[in-house]
Amino acid sequence: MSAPQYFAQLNDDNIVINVAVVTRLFMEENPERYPGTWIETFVNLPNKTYAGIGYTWNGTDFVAPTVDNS
Amino acid sequence: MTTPFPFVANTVLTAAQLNAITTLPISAQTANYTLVVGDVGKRVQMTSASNTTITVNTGIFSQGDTIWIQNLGSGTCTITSGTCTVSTASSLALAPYGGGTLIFQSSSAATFFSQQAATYGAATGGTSSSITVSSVNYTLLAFTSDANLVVSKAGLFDVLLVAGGGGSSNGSSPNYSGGGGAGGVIQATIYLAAATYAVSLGAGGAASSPTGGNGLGTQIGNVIGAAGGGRGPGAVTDAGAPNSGGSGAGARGTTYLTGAPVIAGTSQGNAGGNGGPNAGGGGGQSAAGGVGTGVVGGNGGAGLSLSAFTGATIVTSVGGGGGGTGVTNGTGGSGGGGNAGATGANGTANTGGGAGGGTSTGGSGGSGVAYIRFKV
Repeated sequence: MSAPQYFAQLNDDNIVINVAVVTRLFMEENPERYPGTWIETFVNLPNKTYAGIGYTWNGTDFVAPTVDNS
Repeated sequence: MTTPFPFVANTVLTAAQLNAITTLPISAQTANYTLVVGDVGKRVQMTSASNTTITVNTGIFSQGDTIWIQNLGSGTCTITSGTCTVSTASSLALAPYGGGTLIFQSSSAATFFSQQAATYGAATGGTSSSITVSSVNYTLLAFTSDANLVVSKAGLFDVLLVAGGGGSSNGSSPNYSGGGGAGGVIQATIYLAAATYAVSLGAGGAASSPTGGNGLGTQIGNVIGAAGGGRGPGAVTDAGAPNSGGSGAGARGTTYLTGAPVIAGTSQGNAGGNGGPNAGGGGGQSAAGGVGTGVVGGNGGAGLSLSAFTGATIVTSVGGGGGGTGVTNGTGGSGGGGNAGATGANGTANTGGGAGGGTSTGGSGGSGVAYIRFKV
């Protein structure tokens, strides 16, 4: 079993609204299932952040949302 | 013509009513239904486009009582043992236009005599293999990423769906971080018409602060789905709000479990362990998360062995909860749960395992998986 690939879907503000477990090939073959902008995200790649819903894509990496705990 | 039933003393029936006695009265149902004593001697007809259940409880019926059950809807109607035991030599899952006779041997035991042979369909998709389980041969389709399920022959399919596990957060003394909950698991026999179905796997929740991310759901089209595992909180400021998790995340006294959105009343996991004051472990598919004590973080709840579904040749397990942090960190549950540590271990991919809590950095939940099998 090969390691799965992950892609994060962005809204117009570059906020992650979904994360899919899918190969790039399958996405390209089924564009109707993956509309909009998708950026690959990695679970175990150094210096790369695995995206979650609400994260922001800054053009290089995903950034976790900040939460005010005060 | 409807014949009054049950008969009442001193009632005079017309000839038409007497002739109509050959046509059993109908108890029409359109949603999940629990049999009542008034259904004895009737045809319970289910008409629903969704999957439904007919539940049988004890203490209602008597020896010899008989109920006819017919599924006229396009969804699968499953006769379910509530508190009453229901036995059959066939299947309790009724495909469209399937039916049979339910006869009670006592108030607590009944036998269903199916008038349909359990007919399995055929399909392609994912990674196909041949398996044998309890001397029955199946084709097993394993989906480890999004793909299409192409049903070439309509019929029954056994499905086992595992959603993504919950992610975890960071937290050290005194605000230890809990383990992520395992992704929900749904196992069912469903009827699928010949068509192409989108199989979508749930991603694991991301590591984040002050709380990890929820796991995402795994589903087959709009037919059936499993809910993602609960997120692991990292600090007392996060009370661990209820979420759609299949299993609850370990936390400081938080235990959350949400039932399936598709099959009402079906549990998809277990609660996370309480904190006390070390963090609790995430809930697993077979057990709740361990409680965090004063000296150790709770272990993740144990996952579910798949050997009864996938066969002895593909022994694996899914749905382990993540461990909680503590003076001594908790370990992940079997089935892909991550250990707690300075950096919480990720849940294993394609198990729906929850992430282990981290004292410095949380981990991500394991992605989900889908198994579909049919008899050959």
